[in-house]
Amino acid sequence: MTDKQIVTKEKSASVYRFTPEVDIYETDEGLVVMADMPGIDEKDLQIEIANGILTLEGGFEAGEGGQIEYYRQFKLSDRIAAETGEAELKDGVLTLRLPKSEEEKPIRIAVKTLH
Amino acid sequence: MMFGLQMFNEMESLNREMDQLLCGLGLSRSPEKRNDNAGLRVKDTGVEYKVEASIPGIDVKHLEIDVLGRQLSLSAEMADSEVGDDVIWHRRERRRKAFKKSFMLPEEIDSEQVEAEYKNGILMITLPKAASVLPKKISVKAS
Repeated sequence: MTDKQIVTKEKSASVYRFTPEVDIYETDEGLVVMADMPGIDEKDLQIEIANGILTLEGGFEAGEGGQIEYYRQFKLSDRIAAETGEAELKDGVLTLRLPKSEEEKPIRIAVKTLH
Repeated sequence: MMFGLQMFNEMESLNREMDQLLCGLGLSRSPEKRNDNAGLRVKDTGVEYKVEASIPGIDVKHLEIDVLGRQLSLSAEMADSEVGDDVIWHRRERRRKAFKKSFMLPEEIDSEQVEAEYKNGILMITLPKAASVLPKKISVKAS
């Protein structure tokens, strides 16, 4: 084994992959996904929705050559209007709000009282 | 609301399945991950200890750090997520209970000089060692 091979091997050994713990709940308006990704900065986080698949991905240098990576995927129903989603990152917790498409939202019909 | 179950589906993840399998066997591939140590790391730099805890989403107002001699106690409460009762839960994996941890450091701490910072869900505490445990340099006078 050459020196170069040894170096790459050591590098890959210090990558720690985590599956972020999530809370997912549904409201009348849509789906809310909260994911714990401690240590992550806005610039290290990628949220992608492609072909109905939501990917949460992020990674950062954790000092001493260590790399922390987060990764988790969900398949979304096409009743989610993902393009209008909103994301917020606070204290290592990502909150992603994915609205339902208009026709999925419950319609409330007001009842008139007739006298 | 039956359709709620189909709003999303988790993608297959070999990584996670391995984790669950190993956890079920009492092993863990990523020891920093779930067991209640909450990703606690302690580093001795010589003159100080650096303690790092991964505790995302805590309420800093309810974060307490106590140092007594060699003992460090941490306690934190999770921030309220303001979720109503009328939602449908699909996943509830995140920590809900308060975080509490207490442990002994190998050497006495200068409790007056302890500093803590909470950033991106990671609590970083710097605990300088007490002067009494630091090595003394004795200068030798040349005659």
